[in-house]
Amino acid sequence: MKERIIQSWILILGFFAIVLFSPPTAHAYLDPGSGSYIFQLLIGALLGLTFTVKTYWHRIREIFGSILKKMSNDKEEDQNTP
Amino acid sequence: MIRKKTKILPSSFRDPSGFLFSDKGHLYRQVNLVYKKNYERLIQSGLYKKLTKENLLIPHKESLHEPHIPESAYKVIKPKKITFISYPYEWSFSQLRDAALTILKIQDLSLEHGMTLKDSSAYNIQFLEGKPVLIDTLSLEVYKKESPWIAYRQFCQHFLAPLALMSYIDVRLSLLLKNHIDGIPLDFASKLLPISSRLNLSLLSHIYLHAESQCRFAKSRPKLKGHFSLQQMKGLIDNLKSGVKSLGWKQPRTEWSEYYQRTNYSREAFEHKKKLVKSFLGKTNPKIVWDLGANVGTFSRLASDQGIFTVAFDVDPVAVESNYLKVKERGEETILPVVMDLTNPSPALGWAQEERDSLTARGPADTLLALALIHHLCISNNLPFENISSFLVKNCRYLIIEFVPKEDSQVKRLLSMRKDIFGNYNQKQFEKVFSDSFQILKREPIKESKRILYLMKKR
Repeated sequence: MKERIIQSWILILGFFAIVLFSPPTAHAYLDPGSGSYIFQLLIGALLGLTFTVKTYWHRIREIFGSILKKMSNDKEEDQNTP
Repeated sequence: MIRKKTKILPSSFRDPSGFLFSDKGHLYRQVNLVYKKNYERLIQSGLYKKLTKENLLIPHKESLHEPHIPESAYKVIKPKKITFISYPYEWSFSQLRDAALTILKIQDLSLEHGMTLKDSSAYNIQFLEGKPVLIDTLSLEVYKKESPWIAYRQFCQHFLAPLALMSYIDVRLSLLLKNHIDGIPLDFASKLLPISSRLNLSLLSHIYLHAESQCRFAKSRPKLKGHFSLQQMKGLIDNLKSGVKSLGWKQPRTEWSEYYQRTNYSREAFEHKKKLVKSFLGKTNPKIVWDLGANVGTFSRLASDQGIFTVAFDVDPVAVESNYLKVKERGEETILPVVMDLTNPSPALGWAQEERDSLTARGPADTLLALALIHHLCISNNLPFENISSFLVKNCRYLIIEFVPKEDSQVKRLLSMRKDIFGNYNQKQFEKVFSDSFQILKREPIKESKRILYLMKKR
């Protein structure tokens, strides 16, 4: 579930960036080919990132899990030492 | 000049890699020299074996048949025959959805073998033994590293856009594919889809933003030599897959969806009708059966369960959907549900009106079932017997038809709402008119019913 939320956030922020920074609409004759090609390149980085996150989600969770555990252990030690 | 005895299929002209041609009713595919490297990779990489094993690609045999255009030919192959060609505007929601997922699955497997799809047209998918398969073997080509998916636009237009429209607005919007032979333009789909569809991130990107991009970069020449890594490509396919899967469809109740719960047959009448239809089918010994107004395919299965290939036509996409879901559940291979409005059947479409065949051009059927149908055509649609007879005779050799008289409760219901201008709607007139084109072989009243079942043969 959490992985979906992170993926969604990456996509949302990415798309807002694309939409905000793109040039204004041209009322030109529609040649869909080049637009689709460029669009793929634009979203490519985001798609690659979310797919990597998705595939390695478990490893990332493990790493974060162990870091948090270590942090709480250190905190406990500090509290226990007089 | 020697006249060639083989003929190129008029719908097969866009791809320089090869084309389909026919010889005495048999279909062959000429593979051109330009495609040679791709064909070799397809076979040697094991991709062909993998895809055919998983029922994703149409199997073929290499043929010694002479090529239609020898100068450009590398090979001739003979693909397995598709008994009935159907088109995406004739499919129910899940049929289109399964076709979309098939394309994506093929692309995933192809990438694993160093290949990619250069086309993702919905017309490259046909139903073979109950499952959607890719029939255009030549649309697989060697994957060039760092290249984006060239078939992306087509996938969005042929699959994602119509599925989104069917899911968010109305299932009947698949009929838009009749007018838009290269899929639904994305700017059009964007305008039609409700704002709530933008909350679906896949639709937001692959339809709405994609359309914006098409518009903005319409005249650009992409100067960036696009770097699109394999990981990004996999991400794209995965995202499209999630997008398709996220589109559901809650089946509405239509006037036909609970038909069999509301019919006026008693148990005995129903069983007798089934017995008669089965017996008449036996007498005609068909290879292909068309069931017109098949609803969920109850009577179609009297033929298909015996291994006879049956096309189950119905105007109601909900009924066709139910039928198709049953086909999947039971793993049936001899029945194909198709959406078809008999009062306005699929016309010939495409360039020179030769790319997509009309309904009649895809026939005739050996035996045609027209059960519980005639009163709807005559009374609800004002069709005279003559017009119905002349249409049916063009599409079959044998006809199993049920006459539903005015005394029947369903007809009374239809007449209750309108003026009875159907002075000629009676059994005598029905037989008189149909005898012009057909020879009446059998006439059997259905027990505990006022209906009569006929077996007729085209004259």
